[in-house]
Amino acid sequence: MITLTDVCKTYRTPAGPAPALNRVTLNIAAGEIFGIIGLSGAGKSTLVRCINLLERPDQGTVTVDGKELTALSQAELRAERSKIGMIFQQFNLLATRTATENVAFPLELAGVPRVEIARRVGELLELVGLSDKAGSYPAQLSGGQKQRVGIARALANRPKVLLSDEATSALDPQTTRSILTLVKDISSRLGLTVVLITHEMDVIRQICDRVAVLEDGGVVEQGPVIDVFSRPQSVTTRAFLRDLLAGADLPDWFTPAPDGKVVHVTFVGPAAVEPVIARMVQLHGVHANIIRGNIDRISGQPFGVLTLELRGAPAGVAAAHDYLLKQELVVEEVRVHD
Amino acid sequence: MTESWTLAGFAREIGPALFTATGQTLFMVALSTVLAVLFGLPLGVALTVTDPNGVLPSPRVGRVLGAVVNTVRSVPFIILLVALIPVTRAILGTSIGSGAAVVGLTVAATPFLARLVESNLREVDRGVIEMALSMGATPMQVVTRVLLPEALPGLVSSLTVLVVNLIAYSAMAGAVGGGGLGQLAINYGYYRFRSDVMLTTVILLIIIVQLLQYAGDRASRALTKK
Repeated sequence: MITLTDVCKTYRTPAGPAPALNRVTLNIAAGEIFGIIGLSGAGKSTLVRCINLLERPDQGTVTVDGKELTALSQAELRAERSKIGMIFQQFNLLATRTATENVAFPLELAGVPRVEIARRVGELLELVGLSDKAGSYPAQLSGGQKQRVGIARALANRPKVLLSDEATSALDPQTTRSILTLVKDISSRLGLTVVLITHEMDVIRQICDRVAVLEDGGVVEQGPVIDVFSRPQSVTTRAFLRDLLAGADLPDWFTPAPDGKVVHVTFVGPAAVEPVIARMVQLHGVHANIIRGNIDRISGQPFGVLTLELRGAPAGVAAAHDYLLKQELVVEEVRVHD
Repeated sequence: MTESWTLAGFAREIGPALFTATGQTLFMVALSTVLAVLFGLPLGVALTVTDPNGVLPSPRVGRVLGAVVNTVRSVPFIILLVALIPVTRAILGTSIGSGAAVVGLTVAATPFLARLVESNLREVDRGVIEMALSMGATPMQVVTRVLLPEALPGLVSSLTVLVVNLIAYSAMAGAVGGGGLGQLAINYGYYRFRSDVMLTTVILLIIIVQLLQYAGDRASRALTKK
């Protein structure tokens, strides 16, 4: 549905050229929810804007639904853009228009007859569960309600693609969940392809089918979410996963023992971690102290992180560490002694 | 000035002149406001959209328009009024009277309003403009359906500022025989030491300005949906 080939973008700034995207190639299939994650400054916003050419790449091609957007005239591009919905972190609602009038906006641009607009807007507000707020101005709506209006508006022209630019980053976790559920539900009901960018792994976990990890303007890793989560290749991905499940830092009540070693163990799927730890304890005669643990589900599979402190004789601890490394687990040592 | 001052006497003597002068002021201000909006609003839009970050970026056009606006705004109004006499004569066939003053007022007010409009439009959130573009809006649609409606409360405030300024400027219309309250105040109040006339015209002007400002603020607030 969406193909980006060798997309490059460099901004000219007074301080010199600032590269934003470096040879990004992505293939996004019809009907999938594709996540793009990266730290701020990684180029996520630029990348998503290259899909509807709000930012024009310096190099490379962008094809959406069989049309090469980078080869179109301005007028043709506008016609294609109207078939790509977009939602935003700051919602970008028109402050002087009611919810109804905001949803009507893209239909007015497209010259849809007034009667048809009224009917369609009614449908859309119902779809996002905001029929009772039809006459409210944005200032009278909560963040979640504003984003629902944004979603209804993005869907007005029956797009095949929905771009989401950090759409839940300004929302609290509970509202985020309900908005993501709505996006997922709409995507599967309408067969909508969704590209969403975020800096939160939890967003990826909740609704994405596939994910690309962006670092310094390049894709460092991509694939099905479950694969990327279970076998993270890049440092960035690992850091994201750790933050997702455990938070970045060790708990403050924890005082590392002088003879101990602290490891994060990430595991995915039925390869349950408990027997592995039990065997490690048996084989190498160490104590495994669970500092923290968290188990969640991704794509229906269990996924978890344990933070363990291994204690015992130095040789035993080292052997236990080796043993863990040989399993189907991602093991990272945490430096606690300087 | 041998008789004692009475209100009735004052009204009989100055009333008709005051009435005419008020009418002239309102005429000059109203007509030049309409004309300034007619020319200044598109000019302000042009200044905004031609900006390098605007929806129709054209740095060269933007620079030329900006230079013209700055030039006209740099000329002191009284000089502008006199300098425009040939132009006024070409347009109206005469260079004196309230109509002639309107030409000067319009020329001064247009770039002033254009700058106010420009700053109002610049305050419209970039995200909203981006949203419109992402939905396939043409630059023209961005202007008519996003920039102007979203900036409307601010534009109404700017219009109020413009009208109040025009009332002040219209006081100088006397220089080309434009009449109005300003000229009355100078001719009677200043040259003939008639403090009562001076005071009356000033009070009248204060009332007019207060009413306009009040109405402008009310309208702007009613349009703000926040």
